[in-house]
Amino acid sequence: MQSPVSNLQYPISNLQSPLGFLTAYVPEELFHAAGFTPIFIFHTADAHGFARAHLPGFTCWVAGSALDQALAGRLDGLAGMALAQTCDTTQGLTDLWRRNVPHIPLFHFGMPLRLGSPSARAYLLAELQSLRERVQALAGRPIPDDALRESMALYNRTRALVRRLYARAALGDIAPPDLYGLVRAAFQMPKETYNQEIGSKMQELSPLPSCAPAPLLLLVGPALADPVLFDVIAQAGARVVGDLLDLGERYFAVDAVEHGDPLAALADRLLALVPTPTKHHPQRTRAAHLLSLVQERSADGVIFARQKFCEPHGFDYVQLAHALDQAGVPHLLVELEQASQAGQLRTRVEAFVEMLA
Amino acid sequence: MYTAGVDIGAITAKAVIFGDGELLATPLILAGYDRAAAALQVLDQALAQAGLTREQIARLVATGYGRVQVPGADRTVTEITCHARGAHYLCPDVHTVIDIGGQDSKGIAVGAGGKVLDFVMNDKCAAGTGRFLEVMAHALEVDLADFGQLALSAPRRANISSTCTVFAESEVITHLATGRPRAEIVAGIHEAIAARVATMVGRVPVREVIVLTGGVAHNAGVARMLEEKLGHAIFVPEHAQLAGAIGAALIARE
Repeated sequence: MQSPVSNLQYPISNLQSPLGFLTAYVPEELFHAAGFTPIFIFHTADAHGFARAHLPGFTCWVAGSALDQALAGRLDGLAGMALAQTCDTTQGLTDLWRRNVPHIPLFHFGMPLRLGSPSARAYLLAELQSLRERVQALAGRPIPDDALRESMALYNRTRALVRRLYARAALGDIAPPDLYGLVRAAFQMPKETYNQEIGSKMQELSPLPSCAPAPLLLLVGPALADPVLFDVIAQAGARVVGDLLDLGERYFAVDAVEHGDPLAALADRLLALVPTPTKHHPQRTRAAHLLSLVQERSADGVIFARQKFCEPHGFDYVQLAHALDQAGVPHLLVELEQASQAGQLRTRVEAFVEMLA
Repeated sequence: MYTAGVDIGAITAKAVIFGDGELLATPLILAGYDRAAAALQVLDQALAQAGLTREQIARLVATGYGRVQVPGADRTVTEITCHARGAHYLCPDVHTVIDIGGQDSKGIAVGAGGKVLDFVMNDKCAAGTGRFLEVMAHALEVDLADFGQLALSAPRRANISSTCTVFAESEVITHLATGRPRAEIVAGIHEAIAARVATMVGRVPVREVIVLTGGVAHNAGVARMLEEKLGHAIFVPEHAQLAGAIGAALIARE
């Protein structure tokens, strides 16, 4: 039977004032309140080769694919593009975009590095205010506080829905391709539609048979990896019970407070998230969070799904793998190419699942 | 009860049949492009060697890259799990398996009963694989069967610094152009592959007894130079190339 998730496609041309974004720290609500529909620009398996003239060969393919799609004209319907300050590649992409894709205005958002420092919140508030002014200029209208609060409420409902998905995943009751198909849709669909439709899609997903003896896994990595990985995990007979993906569980974990100063609420939400590898918070280290997830979900093992050439996650892997080794938690590193190589990926994942079984 | 294991690798297809705890058949053929046909052919050869019919095989487990293409398999199991089990059968004291096949190389930490504790795998690059040796033997016009011994006969080793098969071939051509003796170049090639595999295997805990499996286990030069790089003795069992198929047939008994 075909999964109800398989037909969730929302092309740019069907969206109202679509605005693309990359990275896991863009305050989507600010753009939404100005009348835009923020969507994440996921990579495509095919490449036109246009980006190669501008980027070194060791650039991660999420950034490379976004530039390639833009240069090929496939993002021409976008009203704008937003990037938060994360890795060196994103910084470089900002300049390249402004020079080479001038017809899609770019918004750079300065997300602080040290999230626990005393000045982080003030810095973030100033950046949010600056972004608000730039977005207002593009929209040609002000963003009233009430409109921003309404957008935050809408996004909070989306986050609550995605948390329900993860609650099912934590029980091993949702197949990995369905889980990530629905999480991915939250980045591609208008939130109004998502909030209306996804509850019923969740109902349509039949409960999975009892977990035993399926090994329970956690995923760690950047964006949402490659859908092929989720198929391979499911076919190997394992379940995913949670993740530390940049666009995964952590992204939806914290709501924005719907009363008071809306910019302060957006800032506090961004500061409260478990950091991605390019950020640091002394009270919220990624290793401690991952170990607590392993314990809480009774995970048997961890798969690091790293995009080839993603340096921040490469350095992060060393620290997290060390922490898992100390705790005696088995882990596997798979390096993902822009175009999937399912055969070799399958051997590694199946062998890992056989090892855990 | 008779059980069979079929291992369809990148270059060769192997089959074994177990009966009453004994290895009854051990054929090996080239896999070719039609993996399903190769699987049937090597299994037929195994049945003929054992004097059995297909109906007498209680269970068949397939492994290797072509495992999903083996007709009639009761189950598929990865070559990582199978090599660990097979190596444990061939050497019960094994703690580390180094499997160098045609297309990839692996390091496997093995626990009690041949269980996989951890593994690393090089699967995207021909350097450190049997294919690397094939390409180099062809370029230097040396029979693959003599390649390892020729490497060990050299008094000195040429420096092959590249970790890429294609670039390494360019380096070989450069050495040939400077008149470097063939044996020294061959020795350098073996040292390069050993260095690459040793670096990769070092990511799992390397503990003696170390067993070398896969087709490259037949190459004494690689085995010797791996011993040098790792600082440990390496055991090469008689049926090293069949370890995956043996593991599959053992798993089929469970």
